[in-house]
Amino acid sequence: MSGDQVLTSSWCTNWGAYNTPRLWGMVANEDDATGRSQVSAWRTLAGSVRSQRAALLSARADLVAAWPPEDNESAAAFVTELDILIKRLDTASADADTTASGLDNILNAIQTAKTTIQPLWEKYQDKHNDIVPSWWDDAEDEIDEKARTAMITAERAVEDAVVQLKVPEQYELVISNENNDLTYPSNPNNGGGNGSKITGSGRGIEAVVPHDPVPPLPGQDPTIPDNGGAGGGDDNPGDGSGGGSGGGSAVGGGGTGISTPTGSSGGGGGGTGGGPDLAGVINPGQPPIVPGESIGLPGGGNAGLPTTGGGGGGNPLLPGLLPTGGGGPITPGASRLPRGAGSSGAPRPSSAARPSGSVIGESETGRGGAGNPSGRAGNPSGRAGNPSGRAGNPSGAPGGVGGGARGGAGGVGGGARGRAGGGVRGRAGRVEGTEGARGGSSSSRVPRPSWLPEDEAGPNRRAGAAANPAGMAGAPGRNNRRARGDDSQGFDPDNPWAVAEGVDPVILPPDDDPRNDPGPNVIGRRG
Amino acid sequence: MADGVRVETDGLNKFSDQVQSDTTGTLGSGYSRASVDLSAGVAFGASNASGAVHAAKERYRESLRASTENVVAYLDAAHVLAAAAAKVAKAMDDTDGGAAQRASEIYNLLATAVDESKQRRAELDGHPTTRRAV
Repeated sequence: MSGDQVLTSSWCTNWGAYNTPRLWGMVANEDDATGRSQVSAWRTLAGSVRSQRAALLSARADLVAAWPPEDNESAAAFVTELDILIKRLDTASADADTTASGLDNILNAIQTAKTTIQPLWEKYQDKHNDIVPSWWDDAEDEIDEKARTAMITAERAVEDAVVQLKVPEQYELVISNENNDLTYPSNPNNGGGNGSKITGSGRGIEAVVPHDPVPPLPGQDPTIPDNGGAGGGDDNPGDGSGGGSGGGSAVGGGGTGISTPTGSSGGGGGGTGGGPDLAGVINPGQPPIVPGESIGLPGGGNAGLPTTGGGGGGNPLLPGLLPTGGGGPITPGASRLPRGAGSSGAPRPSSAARPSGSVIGESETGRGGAGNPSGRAGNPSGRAGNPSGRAGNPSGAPGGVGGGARGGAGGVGGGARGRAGGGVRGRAGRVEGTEGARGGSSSSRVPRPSWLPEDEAGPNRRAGAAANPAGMAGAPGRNNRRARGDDSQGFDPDNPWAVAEGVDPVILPPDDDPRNDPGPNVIGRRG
Repeated sequence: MADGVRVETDGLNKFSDQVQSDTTGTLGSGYSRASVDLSAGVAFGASNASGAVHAAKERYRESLRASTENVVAYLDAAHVLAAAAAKVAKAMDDTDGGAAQRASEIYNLLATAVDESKQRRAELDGHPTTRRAV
């Protein structure tokens, strides 16, 4: 098998579907020690095989002296078998060494990626928590690109190293009876016949391939199609990651999954759905939804709305779609429906139902509490549940005020932000008693994805979040817009325009001269 | 080629003892140590979505399986050859060299050694009801 063509990649990875938190999640838990011990084990094995070969060579020399093969046909037959074994041991020791080197190179590549991405992840968190909107500076996009570059570099190194993992041909000690002058006892273990053989078949180390990849951003495909090449199979990450992605989105989003799931993967639908709403643009309204009846899905097929996050069947009563709990028709104005709904074609909530602090054009789906009747309780971390992800704008363009672009950031967060932002801050909120005030419940927290690192990178991640848990209420800063976990302005369907209670102003107008002269050349002013 | 011109059965017995001892002390011992760590299986890239990493994991699994299977087979083969050499020596002593001078007889003895090895393996690795304590 060593001479066979080696498959160096199972599929073409779509690295654009992963942002820094997800890339960090791929490498954060790499256990270098175990891998290194295996490299050492391969070296040990190679050395042992070499020693065995040397011992056999020494024994062979003594054997031929006592039983010369040139004088004995029987000795020649025996030595022939011995020579085959010695030759195989020679190959085996070299293969074990090469495999050790290949494994070492793979581990090095992954470790290099890990050490490269870790500071990027920390930087990402810093950018995530600063006051500059990400759509303004694209800071996270730059970090994402660097992280992807690190992964691509590692992937190439791994591809080069795969061929070093030697898969030797099976060794068999076959005692043939070609002359048929001897009758070997038929052995059912080897299928009978006129030969006996020894193999190691079934007695080696049978390992399983651990494969639980970090899901891509919602709406993104984890692979790049290559005309039906090697991307298929049960291990294709698309099979598993799509569902996982959809699951996280719907659970965390509280009615956010509408634009995410398409098809069976539960990950599509982002598409261009993140485009900004344009004020004043009236989009065709959706037909009224009668509670209790199923929402028709124009997309047909399996473009159902997620019930528990998958891309599965269509539950028409999505919490979050109808903030008041249903009863009235869905009002027109779901301007992104034609795009955002993707193939699901599901109705969207009116854009008028935006919570305070939102930005016109920002995806409702990114705001966890937007359509959730239970308000904060349903989604302590709005960003964590944002399924729109970068799917809406894979290019990462700022998109002006377009929520779609930063909807991607929400998707980025996926589970990540549920922890970094909402999770941490959710705890802070409980300390301050806001949980009870908002009707929050710890049981409603967004489940932490299995792939997400346990803690934020860097020493001050938690401290920083705790020290500045809220940011400026109502301001479009990232604290408020993304890390909704501490957003005290969680949506209240009875008071959609509520603002945070502020403090007394520190700058007051002068009270000495109330007259305000606009000066000359002002329309309507004479002279 | 004429058989049975010159045979020193002591040399065959020495070969048998030496190979048995060396196999246990070198490859057997080394594989035993290495298998402790190698048994951990594929220890990288569990969460990695890379196609190359996945291919590497699959390839490493195959490498691990095939390589260790072969090592086990090498161990068995060495023991079989050592046992066969001892049988050859015994046959020569018993028949005054006549029976073991034919190549066919060597194959017969090797086959016997193989079968005995398989029997030992079955007792060690077989069904729990027939497994022999080591």
